[in-house]
Amino acid sequence: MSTTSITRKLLPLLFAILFSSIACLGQNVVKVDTAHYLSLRIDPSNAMGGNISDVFSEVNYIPLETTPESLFGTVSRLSITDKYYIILDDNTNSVLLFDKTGKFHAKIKGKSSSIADRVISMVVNRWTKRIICSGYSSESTYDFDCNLIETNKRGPLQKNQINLTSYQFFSADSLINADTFNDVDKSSKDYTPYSRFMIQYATANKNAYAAGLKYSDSESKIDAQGSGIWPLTSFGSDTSFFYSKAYTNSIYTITPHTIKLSYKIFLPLLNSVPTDFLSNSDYTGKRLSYLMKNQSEIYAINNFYKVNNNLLFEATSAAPNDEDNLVYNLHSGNLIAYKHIQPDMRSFNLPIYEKNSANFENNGLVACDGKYIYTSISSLGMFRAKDLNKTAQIKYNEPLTLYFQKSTRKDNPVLVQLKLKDEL
Amino acid sequence: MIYIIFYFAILICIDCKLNCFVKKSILLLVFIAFSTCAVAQKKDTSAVGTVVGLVRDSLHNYNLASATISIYKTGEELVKYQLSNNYGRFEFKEIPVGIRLEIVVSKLGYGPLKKNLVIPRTSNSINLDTLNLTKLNILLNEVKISAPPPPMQMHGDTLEFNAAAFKLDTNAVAGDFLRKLPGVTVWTDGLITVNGKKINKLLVEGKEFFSTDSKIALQNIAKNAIQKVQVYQNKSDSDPINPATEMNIVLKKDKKDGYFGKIGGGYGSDKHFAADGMISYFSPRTQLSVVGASNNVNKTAGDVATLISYNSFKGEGILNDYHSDFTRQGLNIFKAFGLSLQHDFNKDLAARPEDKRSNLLKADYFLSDLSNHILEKSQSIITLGQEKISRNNSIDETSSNLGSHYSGKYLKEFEHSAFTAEFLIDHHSNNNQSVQQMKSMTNESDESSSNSKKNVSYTADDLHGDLKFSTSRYYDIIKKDFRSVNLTIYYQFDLFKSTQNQLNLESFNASDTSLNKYINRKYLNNVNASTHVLKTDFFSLTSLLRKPPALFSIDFKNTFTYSNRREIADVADQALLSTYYVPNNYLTNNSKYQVKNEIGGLNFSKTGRNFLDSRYDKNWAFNFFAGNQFYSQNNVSQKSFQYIDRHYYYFVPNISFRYNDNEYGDFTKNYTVVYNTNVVYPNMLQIAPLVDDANFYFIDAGNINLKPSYNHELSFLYNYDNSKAKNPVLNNLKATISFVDRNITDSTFYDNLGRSVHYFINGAPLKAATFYDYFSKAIKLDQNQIQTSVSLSTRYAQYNSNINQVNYSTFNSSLSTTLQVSYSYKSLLTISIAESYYGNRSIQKGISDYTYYNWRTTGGVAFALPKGLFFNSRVDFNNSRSAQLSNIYYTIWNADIGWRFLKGANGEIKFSALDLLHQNKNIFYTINGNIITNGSTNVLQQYFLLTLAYYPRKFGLSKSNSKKL
Repeated sequence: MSTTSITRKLLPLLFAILFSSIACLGQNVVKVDTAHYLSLRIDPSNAMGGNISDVFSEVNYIPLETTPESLFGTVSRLSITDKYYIILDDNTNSVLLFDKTGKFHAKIKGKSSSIADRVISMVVNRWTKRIICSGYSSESTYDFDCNLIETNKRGPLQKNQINLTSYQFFSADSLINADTFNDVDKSSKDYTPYSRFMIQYATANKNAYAAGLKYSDSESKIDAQGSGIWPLTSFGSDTSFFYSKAYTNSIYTITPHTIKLSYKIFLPLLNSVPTDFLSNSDYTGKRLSYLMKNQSEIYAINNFYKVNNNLLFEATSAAPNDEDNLVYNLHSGNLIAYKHIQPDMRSFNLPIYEKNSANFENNGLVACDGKYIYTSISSLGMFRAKDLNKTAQIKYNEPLTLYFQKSTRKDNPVLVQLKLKDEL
Repeated sequence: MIYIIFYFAILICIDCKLNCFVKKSILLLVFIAFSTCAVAQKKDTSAVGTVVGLVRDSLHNYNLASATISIYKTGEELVKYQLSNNYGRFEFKEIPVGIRLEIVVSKLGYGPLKKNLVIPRTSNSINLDTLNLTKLNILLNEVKISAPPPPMQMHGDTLEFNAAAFKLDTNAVAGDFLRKLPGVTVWTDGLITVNGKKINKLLVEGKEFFSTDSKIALQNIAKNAIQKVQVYQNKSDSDPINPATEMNIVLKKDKKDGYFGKIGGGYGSDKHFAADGMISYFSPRTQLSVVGASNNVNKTAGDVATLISYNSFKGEGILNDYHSDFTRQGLNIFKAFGLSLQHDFNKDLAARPEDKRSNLLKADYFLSDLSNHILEKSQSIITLGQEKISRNNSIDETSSNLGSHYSGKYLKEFEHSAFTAEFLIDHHSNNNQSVQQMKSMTNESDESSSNSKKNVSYTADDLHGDLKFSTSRYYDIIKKDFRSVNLTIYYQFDLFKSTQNQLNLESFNASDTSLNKYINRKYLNNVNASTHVLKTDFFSLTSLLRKPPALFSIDFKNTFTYSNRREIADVADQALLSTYYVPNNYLTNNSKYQVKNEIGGLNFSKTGRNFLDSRYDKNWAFNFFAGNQFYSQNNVSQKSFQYIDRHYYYFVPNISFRYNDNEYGDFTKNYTVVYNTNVVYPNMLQIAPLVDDANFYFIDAGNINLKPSYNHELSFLYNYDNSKAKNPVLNNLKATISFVDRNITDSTFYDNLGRSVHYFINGAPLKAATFYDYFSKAIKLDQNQIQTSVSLSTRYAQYNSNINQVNYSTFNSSLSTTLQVSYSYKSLLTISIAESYYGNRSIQKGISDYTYYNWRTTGGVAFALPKGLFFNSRVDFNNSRSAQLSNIYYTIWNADIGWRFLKGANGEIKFSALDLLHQNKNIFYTINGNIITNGSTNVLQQYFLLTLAYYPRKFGLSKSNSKKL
């Protein structure tokens, strides 16, 4: 283990200890740095298209082995470790582990029939090599061979304990949680010093020790909505995450000790929610119906990732459209619509997203490991594309040749791994 | 509290997933739309060419999927069209070569592109390479190109067909337009499917058009008034997994109001006449219709909507329901008048139909008068073991029925609740004079006869009301808590009042003259009755507990019914040798009958779902209603034997299991198994009636010991559709077995004069089984369409009944099957052939074995030129056989020939020849246990009719005003 990695691993812990000790004295608020952010002017309707080879330097299709045990529906969440792809499948409510070649490794069998036992969130702790599956009534921890380590029943929270909604580990026993807007005032017995903060820092046993991004009383009544990977996203860094604040098009970078407004996205008037959409109490309880009526207005920035010079995100409106998943190059300012990127020989004329399927609309680009971005395509979609390629005499690579030979339309989805070009 | 908040977070999560599922279903529709590409409009021998190309937004450097590419011949004749595929490519085959064509490319948000082309005869193909479209916000005014609207396009998640792109004759209606659309099948029974998926609702401007009967819209709205037809899935459907598909007709901006109607009359042979009138007005808010009819050719209707539908502009043809009903008994004169009003109070008229909350008032008035004269003769054979009774019966009956019917409905939907109020006022009066003669003969040649003359006048008023209020539980995202409950409260009342005046002159003569009787009896019966029903259903009680979801979802359901019937009967007999009437103390009565019926209990339900994206969606639902029925009946009367006070309790469970398997792109199957129980309680007429001795041959006695029968029924249902656009297949199957414990059955005693005394007894259990299957398939080849359907229905029942105090087992079986094939070419020609068979066998072990078969072959042809001549003819061959009675053959042949004239084909002259072969005989067979009857009645027979009609219609009343503006 290199000194750097030791430092990297110890630093958060040190901060945690530091914060914890201060916490004894009262509320620890991490100051939000809003002084130096980048304004991005994005007009989705003028996003460009292109061929796959223009945008990506590498496209890999990783068929995920289909066996009676490993059969699953869709890649709803994806965590990438050194050895495994860890997939949460909403359809079967299972967590599946495949090795980097797509070979099935192990599975945490879901209980999709019971809402109480459903796994609703899966978080991977890379340091301890654990998978934490949260359900309504309990929280279970597994190792990477899917052996159950422990199960904790959910009960009333202790003082300073927080409810984890969307969180990421930044060390073996420290995490960052992005809370939802909660209308919990001081008179409530559930009120903790960290209740009114969007970002909470906590130990693995949910004890909050610091917080940032306080929200006002009026904001506590926000009916915040998002979909896909939201609001906290990981982009390949162990200690740095993006947080997308609802209705503000603001992206914050969250580290174990800082919160910084990094990007503010400005959209054309036609695609923007009203400027006072967050603060105006006239919208209280009516925001969702407003958005359903104004389907061209973008209300959330989801699946926000950064790969070198490129930002990737989904500009979400009530109506899915072809310009909602975008790639923005920070050097050139060029904007590319992901759905308009055309297959070419770099992808063996196979698509990088599946049109007319719920998969991409529901999950989008599911993960980013700092080098690659990931999505998936159903076998039905792969075989349809192969049928269209019949006349083109495509020579597929070995894994794909094997896949098309041995698989059927009803097999597992295929993972798509994409490497963006740095200069676009 | 935190505990609870986390639970809500999960539910939000689930809710989000639910939304995703909706999204998925919608996208599935989109996928289907893509698979409908390239639909041929015209066959052409030179159509051997291929056109390929790529649609692109070059400025933004991407290819355009789902752009509409249309190829026209000169003169704007549409040859073919399709949507570009996911990569922006298109490929047309079978395009005419060597002639000048125009290709138009369009996509929402882009300016259209037009290009001329000629496919070289040498290569028979042309590659147009890249066709560039430019976004509308970039397109400069000077380069804007006008182009015809694309025939088909995707607008978000809605599939749209633009009417202007489809050239039909100027008098075409909405139905003609729909038949032209790819993937759309208009079935012979009025059902519309899009890519095999049933259209649950056809709306016009987001509302029902005069009625739920889609025919009114399909056969009246001028195609030229239509801007587009939208097909979409209802997002607010309670079944988000398999939401209902709806179709909405959007009218052109200047055609949002209008009127259509018909005024016509005809006169013919044997004083036959038929007159119809209808005028209907519609605007974005209001629909008003006035309709009337009068005829003596057996064309009747039961409500306003049916009458509006009968007077449709394109209502003619072999599939039209408004034909003379040759099976109707007697000679009938029908007069009717109706009024229908619908008003939409909704502020947001422009909202999409699925987003709209109803605020609608609907009212109907219908007045009908049916005069009827029946002459019926019948012969019955009653088998009593070795003995037989032959009975001849003749009836001469004249009646007039006047009915007026008001109904109203108001529907208001709120965000989380809905309120419905309905009322119905019915006034009915009937005058009936009948003369009946009966003659009965037994083996020993005992003979008896009766003469009966009845004069009945009857009036009844009925006021019926329904009030329904429902609320639904929802999650308040601000308060992060659930609000409201899932509750339905339903109250229904019915107030009924009737008066019957009756005079009976009855005489009975027998070979033993001491048995002769003469009765002259007057009746005055007054009935006052009321029924109140209160239904209270609380759904998902478990969700109120705020605990982890239980194993089952539990509902509480309760229905309480109270009915009260007060009857005063004044009966008097003419005193012997006198003109005075003296009260009949036995039949004169004052009674009050009350029933309290409560069915309540807990309902346990559980659902499950197994789905894999892009592969299948299998879901199931289990339901168990632990119903408890408390039933009490109480009768107070002047007759002591009619004092009844009975109380019952029964456990009446209901269990169902439904399984739905949707294999994407392959098929959808539904399986349902239902076990149902119910109790049939004997009524006062079955328990302790006042026996009227004026009915010489049929005396209905009571049985004070009669007990309720308990029915068990187990049903299996299966539905299949293949979700295919071109050749849709539908199959519906239902099989039922039932078991009735303490079956209420007949006990009849016949005397040697053929007189019978009936009463009901609890017999051995009834065992019955039924099977029904309906299979249909449509094949679409360009403008030709073939629809085939096969239906099979069979029933078997086994029960016991008593005859002359001997218990007999009865076995009854029947089978009916119909095969129908219809062929249509555009809207010009329809040919239909159907063969059906019906067989019935009834065995009463030891005394009778009756069989009856009927074969029926029908064929029809309808031909209609757009402007001018139309012709339709229908032949119906009937062949009835029975081992016990003589065989019967007859054929009914009808034909109409007519001419549509004036500019909009508004004028019509028609000559109709009905029952050309003069063979219509209304001959009937009935088998009822040990009695087989055959008979005939007077019926409508051959007639010729010349009819003149004018169809006033205009779509777009404010057109001139809007032009001025």
